[in-house]
Amino acid sequence: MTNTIRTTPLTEKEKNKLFTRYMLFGAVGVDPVYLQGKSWPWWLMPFYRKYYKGKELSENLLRHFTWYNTEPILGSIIFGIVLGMEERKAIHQDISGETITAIKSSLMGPVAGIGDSLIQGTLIPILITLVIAISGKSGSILGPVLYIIILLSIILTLAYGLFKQGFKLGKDAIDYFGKVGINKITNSIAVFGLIIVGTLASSMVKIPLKISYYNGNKKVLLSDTLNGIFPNIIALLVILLFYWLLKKKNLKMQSLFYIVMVVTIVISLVGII
Amino acid sequence: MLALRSALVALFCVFSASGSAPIGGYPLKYILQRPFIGGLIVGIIFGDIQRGIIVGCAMQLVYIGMFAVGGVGAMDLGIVSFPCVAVAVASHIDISAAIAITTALATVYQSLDYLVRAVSVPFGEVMKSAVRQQNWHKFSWGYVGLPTILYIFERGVTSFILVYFGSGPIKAFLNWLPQNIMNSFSALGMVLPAIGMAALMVFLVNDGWGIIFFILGFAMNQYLKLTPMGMLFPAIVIAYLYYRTINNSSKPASENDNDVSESDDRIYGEEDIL
Repeated sequence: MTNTIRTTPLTEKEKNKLFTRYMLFGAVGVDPVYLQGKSWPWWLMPFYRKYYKGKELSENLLRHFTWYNTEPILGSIIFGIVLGMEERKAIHQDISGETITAIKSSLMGPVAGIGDSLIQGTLIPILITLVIAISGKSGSILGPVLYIIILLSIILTLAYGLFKQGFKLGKDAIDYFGKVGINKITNSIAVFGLIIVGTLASSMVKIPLKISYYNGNKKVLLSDTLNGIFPNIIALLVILLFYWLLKKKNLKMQSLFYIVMVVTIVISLVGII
Repeated sequence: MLALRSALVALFCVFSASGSAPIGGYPLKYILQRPFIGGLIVGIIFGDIQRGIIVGCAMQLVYIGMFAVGGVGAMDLGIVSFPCVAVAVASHIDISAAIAITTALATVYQSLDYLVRAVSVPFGEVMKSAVRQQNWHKFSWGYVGLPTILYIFERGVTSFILVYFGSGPIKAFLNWLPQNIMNSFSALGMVLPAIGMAALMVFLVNDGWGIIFFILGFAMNQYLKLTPMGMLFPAIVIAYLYYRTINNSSKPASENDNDVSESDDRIYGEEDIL
């Protein structure tokens, strides 16, 4: 039944090489059809060439051409899990390819939400503040150099640790996820992600309206009135509107991007924002 | 000399692309897309490190809250780092003028990037056919080579021109642009991050009521001023409770203990509706 050409597990050195490939060539040539998805077959290509040949090699690689988008530093754990499962599949043949692809796709959302919030939304702004405090006035070289050292040591340690843990988890994934159900785990992580993304959105997106009206003789900004009802409500409503368009109306992100661009420019020219 | 310097800046600009740096992945992206790093490198290229870093920090201060959430950035921060800081350093314009130029250029480049992404779609097919033929050389060309060539034209060549001809033509162009167009660029900067947030929500919401968790986080930030970091533990607790709830509710009724209270039944009932 099987055409695997090797039955020994990956060595540490081989794992590290695959991790380096993952880190150095993440998200090249992003396009609207796959986003970062094309990276998967490219990352896993050396692995598959060690274990498969002929038709099976092509089939396994083609299976990984799916839409994929996440935050790659935290995403190391997904790479680890998938690699661990793929190794088990190649050696023991007790996991189906579809299961692996499904786990990959269901983990990317929660990881993206948490990773964007914690790395781009928290860690990097803290480091930026530090750099500006050190070098903003003096132009000292110390700030940028510290940024590079601290950032790289944190994200690379984090990514490597997550990769290692993910790999271990992936090898036993079928026992673990099989018992509890992958959906329950990812749904719960998604709840965590949603709350964090909510705080992030609230602190980042601010859309002040320029419209004002007269209350008696006093000129009142409409934004102020609305913020009295719920602070930053306009931003919240705009995000929910975009969400509704993407999810319920199945609008493509590219189309939404262009529509929003045109509409925003028009309403800004009219003087609303 | 200026040509060589412009070419170096152009090279860094290609490597700081949001969607596609040919090598280096996200660690490099998280470094090169910070304007003060751009300031450091541009300072080294132009022989005035101190000024480079000061300009870079000033630019960074303006764009501190800007990053690509869910893959959608309002503007391309790689562009702030590379041709823009370089133009400001090379042609000795003051920082507020540099920021006006930057905001406009970064928004324009963001749309150019989307165009290049659309043009990159056939490369996926190139990779697939390479896999079928097991032609690994072609496979790598489809993944790294061909998109990089596009980015060299889109980002490299244009930023070479920007740095080489300096801020004069850009300034003339911006002066020609009416003020309300500039205003709409900054309005765009405020609205576009909302798309990224909405895109993350699409990933995360499993059933219609999922958005209440998003609104919870939003309200926590507005009313209690909790940052994403401050919300970490409350969110973990809520997620854990959620996990316990869905885990219990899906068990067949016979397996449940007898002490399932009425309130639990009510919660599970609601779960079923969702």
